[in-house]
Amino acid sequence: MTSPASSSEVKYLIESSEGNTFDVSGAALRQSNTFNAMFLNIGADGPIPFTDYNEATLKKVFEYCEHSVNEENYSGPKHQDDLSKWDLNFFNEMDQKMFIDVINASNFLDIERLTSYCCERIARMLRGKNTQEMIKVITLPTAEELEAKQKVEEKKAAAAKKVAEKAAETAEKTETLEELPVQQLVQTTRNKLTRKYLSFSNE
Amino acid sequence: MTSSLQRPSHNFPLLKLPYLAMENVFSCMTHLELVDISLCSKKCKNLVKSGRKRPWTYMDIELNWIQLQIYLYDANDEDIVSVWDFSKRVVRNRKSVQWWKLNELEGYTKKQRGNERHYQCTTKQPLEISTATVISYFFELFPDCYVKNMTLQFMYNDSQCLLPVLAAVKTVENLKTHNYDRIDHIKNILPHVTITKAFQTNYNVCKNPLVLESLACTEIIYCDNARWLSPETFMTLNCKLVGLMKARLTVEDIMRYFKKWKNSTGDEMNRLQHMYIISEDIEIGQGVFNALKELGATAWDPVKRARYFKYPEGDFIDCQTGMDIERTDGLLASIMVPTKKKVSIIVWKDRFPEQHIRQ
Repeated sequence: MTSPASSSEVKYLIESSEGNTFDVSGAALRQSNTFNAMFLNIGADGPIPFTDYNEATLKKVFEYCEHSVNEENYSGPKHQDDLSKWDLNFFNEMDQKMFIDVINASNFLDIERLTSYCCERIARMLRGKNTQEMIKVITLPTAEELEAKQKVEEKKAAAAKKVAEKAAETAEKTETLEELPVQQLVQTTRNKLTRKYLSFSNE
Repeated sequence: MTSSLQRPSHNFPLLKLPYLAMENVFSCMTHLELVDISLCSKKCKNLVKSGRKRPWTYMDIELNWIQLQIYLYDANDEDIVSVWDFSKRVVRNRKSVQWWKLNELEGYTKKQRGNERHYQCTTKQPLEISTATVISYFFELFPDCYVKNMTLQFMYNDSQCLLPVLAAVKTVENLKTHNYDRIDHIKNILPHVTITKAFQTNYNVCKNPLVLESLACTEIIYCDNARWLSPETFMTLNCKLVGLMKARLTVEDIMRYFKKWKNSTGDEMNRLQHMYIISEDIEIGQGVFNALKELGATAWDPVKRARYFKYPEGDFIDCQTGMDIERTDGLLASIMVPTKKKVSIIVWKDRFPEQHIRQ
């Protein structure tokens, strides 16, 4: 099933996080620099485990690789307007969760072309926006939210401090209460031993 | 499935992506977008700073009595520019504008016009402190950024105020100063900034000469009042075009410079192409003319060089009356004395340039 041969006919088995396996052509897989570095020369003995990613994501990623097998060598990101219809459909079909998963997988597999198209797409979302709008787009907390969060944290810290202080006080009291009988016990034992020693020496 | 990515108001948790993917996103952004995103949070700023591929940028700084502005350009596309204005601080309706914060500064973004974005700083603190903060911020974000043009027209009585700006700038390609009715302001500028290409100054009055280690300009030095120029600094000049008016230099100083040029080899004085010096008080022209024998100067020989010298801009100057001196490496210069108080030297990198039509 898997071999280090360079022919595009060769198929490799890929294993997803669900434990499912599926075929990918060698030519498509070789677009992944991670694969090239790990398996190309030595070959894979069994399914290649990409178990951090689910089947749907991996299939989507390799769908792109299969499609771009015959494209020219990658030479930097294309302008979005230059993308083909197929490329546009490919991106438009994804919802946000899938899109993030695809970026993560593509980043791990080091598929330059796909990663940079995805990133260019994100950069496009931010185009023409000012700082406030960008904060909303990249879902950063606003200054007010941060302030509120800080206040809550401060309150929590203050409450925790109070609890800790109370606990320390209680522990101190318990210690003094517990210490008394122990000390008494020690003293009594000492006295007893001293008496024994004295009686022994007198004998 | 309909894409939610296409919606213009769509949110995307950019900072949750792997670092390399985020870096890749930043590398697709213009410097305008990078500045804006760096203002979103400290983390964003650090991410922009740590990116390996950042746009090549340069700054122009303008300080005059009307406005104080910084322009940040993309060096590969000068149409993309962010303009930072520090002069108006009052905002009538705070809710109607988009606010930003940069360290301890705050301000608002005006509407974008094409590839030009305007930022208005409103923090109530000395303008030069705000300016210096923004300049330092740009250097932090874009380490390859440089200051191309700086124009200083004094609006302050005390030019010491400029020190924070100059401390942030350190090196500038082209510097222009206009000091109307101000005295000795140049002393607060030149020692604190290195000029790499051109230095031009107008209306600059200086009581005492200024001794600089060197004036490193390579292209142009033009001073309509060069009384600040000390003989020591004058001796360090190695610049293509030099124009010094109202210079305080003596005949001895100028002769020493010419001798240095004649005896120099290599790059030490190699940039000089044309220099003229005009004195207000001394008849330097006459004095130099009398001393030319010391340099072994000879009259124009049409076999050795052409009559007309051609400026880089295409203008010609008639050098028929010029006295020629030649270096050991074969470089020829003509010294001319057009008036009693004016001396000029022209260096013939090309002894027979394309000639003037009148010849």
